[in-house]
Amino acid sequence: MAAEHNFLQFLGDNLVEFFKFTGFANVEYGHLIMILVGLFFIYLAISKKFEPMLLVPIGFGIIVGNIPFFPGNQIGIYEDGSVLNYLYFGVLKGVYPPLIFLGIGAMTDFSALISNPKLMLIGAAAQFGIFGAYMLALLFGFSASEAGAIGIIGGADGPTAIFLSSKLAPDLMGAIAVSAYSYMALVPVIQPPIMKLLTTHKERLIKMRPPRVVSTTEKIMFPIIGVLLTCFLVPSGLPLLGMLFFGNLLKESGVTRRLANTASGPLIDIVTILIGLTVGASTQATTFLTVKSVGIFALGALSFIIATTAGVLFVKFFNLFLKEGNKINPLIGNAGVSAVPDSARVSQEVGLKYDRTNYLLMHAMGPNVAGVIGSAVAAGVLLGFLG
Amino acid sequence: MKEKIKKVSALLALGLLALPCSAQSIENIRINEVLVKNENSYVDDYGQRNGWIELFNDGYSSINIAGCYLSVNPGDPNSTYKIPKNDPRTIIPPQGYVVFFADGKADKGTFYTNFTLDKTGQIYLFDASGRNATDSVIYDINTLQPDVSIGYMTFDQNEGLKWGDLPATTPGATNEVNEIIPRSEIFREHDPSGGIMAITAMSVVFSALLLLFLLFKAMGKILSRMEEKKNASAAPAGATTAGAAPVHKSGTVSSEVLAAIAVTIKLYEEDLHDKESEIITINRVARTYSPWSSKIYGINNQPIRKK
Repeated sequence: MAAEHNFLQFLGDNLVEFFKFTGFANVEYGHLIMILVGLFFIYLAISKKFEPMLLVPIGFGIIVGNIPFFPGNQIGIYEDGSVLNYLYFGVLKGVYPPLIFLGIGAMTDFSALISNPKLMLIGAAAQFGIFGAYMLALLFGFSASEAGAIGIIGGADGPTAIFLSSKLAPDLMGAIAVSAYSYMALVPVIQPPIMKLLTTHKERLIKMRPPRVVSTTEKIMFPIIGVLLTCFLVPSGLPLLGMLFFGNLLKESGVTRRLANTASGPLIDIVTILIGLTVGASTQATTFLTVKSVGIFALGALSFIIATTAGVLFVKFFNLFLKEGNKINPLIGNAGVSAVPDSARVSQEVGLKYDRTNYLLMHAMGPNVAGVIGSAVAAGVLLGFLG
Repeated sequence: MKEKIKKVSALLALGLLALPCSAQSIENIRINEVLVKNENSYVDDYGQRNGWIELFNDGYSSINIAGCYLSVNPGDPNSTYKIPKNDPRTIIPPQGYVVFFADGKADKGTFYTNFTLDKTGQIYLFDASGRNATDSVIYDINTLQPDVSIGYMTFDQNEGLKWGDLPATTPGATNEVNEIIPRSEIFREHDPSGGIMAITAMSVVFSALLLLFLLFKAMGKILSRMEEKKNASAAPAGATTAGAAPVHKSGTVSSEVLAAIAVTIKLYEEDLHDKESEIITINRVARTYSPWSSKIYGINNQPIRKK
């Protein structure tokens, strides 16, 4: 009888001990909230098709990162030696973003930009979103380096946001990355009302001249001149810009098709999976659910609004100096934020609503890819001043 | 001509390789702080107070100082210490420090020199060849106060690094004893609203893209003219190219044509037709004989019963 009692007690103790290690024993409200956020991201990705390539890994990563556990067993992403911690290293040290830029370069056709180079200036104007958000963040009491990291959300470029925040404010990286990707996914919701508000009916009907044919020589020269010019000006943007233009040269040279295919295919897919999952997992409730995160989300939304506004208004201003027939449809101004190709798609869709024969996509791709260059340059400037 | 170009290119490449380069090296190691008279200051691992020399790696990659020399009287082996090899501690990390104790006894370990600092008033750091002094310090032994170290003081915007008496001894650490304010916060002090940053950064972004714009605008024009000239010289007067896409006067192809080309390419790439798994041909296909594909050994053949 005593032996049986001892056995049952031992069994009970074991079960109690085991229970201590389960998620149920360690769960907090924060974990549940974040798991709901993760599920919401997955819903948006699958049901609404909002940036599924990013929101599915990030959403699932949020769930993975918020499974409660007993600390000290090398499980969590912030625990030294855990597998997730090793994978997170690529985010923390800014390894993944340049690799993603390599892939982006290898899959981007800069023809629209080369054929109509004045569209580059729209890509520059939209970067005001970054510095508008920077000023607002300073106003709300963030430190200068935190403000710089938050401001980059306005560049609407996930890898750039991760790269810069890993250097300037690693503590806020999770919130900044999730905020950047969330608003990038919500570009079709955020931008159209601003575009409609800031343009007249007549402006929306402007038909732009079809782009000229771009020669192979120009396409090859673009990444070479681009890297030399931008990186000599802003060397701190080298990891991003160097890889972007290198990827593009692989694509355009015509002699490195295999490398270009790898960079734009398997490589970018692998890195996207890793970056999405680990960024999602880095949003552990204990570090993520803070007042600062709420502030970052609010400032992120404002930065997108400022960027879109700046892009559209700049086109209107630019049109004052352009002859009739050369004018730019201000509906492509929003594409200056570098959410490629979503913001260009928004230009196309809004344009078609007012004129079924006005296809703006190819024109909007110009400022869109210029925005990628612009935001990388802006990140380099911020890093140069605040890093 | 091609041979000449190749030769010139090869020479240029060799010339570039021969140019001096500023890679991370022993040049990045400097004598950062020295305490000659140690009475009540830093104690070594043996509990003794000796003079010491602090070396600092001001570069951004690790540098191994093994094999280099510290000397207070170059040429005199009793006043020159060769830093031993095979000790991982001689690898100085970027922006890192090591401290050598000058107790005159070289048998205590890697970081104990065979000389003391109170004899000559000079310290040299030589590279592994022992001939090139990469850094040196001269001091007046008589004027030095006990427990007051000499070293590089705070970086001054106008004068750069200054050498002199330090307010406190800081072996193995920065000589800066005041609180170090991050660069970003110094920037913020000058620009609390962020307006200057916004203007500066936007100017840089605009400049970068404006330069690209101007370059590619010019390049586009030049290439278009070259193309026009080429076409003009290639085609006979009044001739039109049959089947060519209609081109506007401005040299651009109409959007309808572009759309048609795009659709054609898309259909071609997607290959909407069913893919045939076999090739049907009227040509005779000759294959090398192989028993593996021979019909003689096919399983459909009726087995021959041998009696």
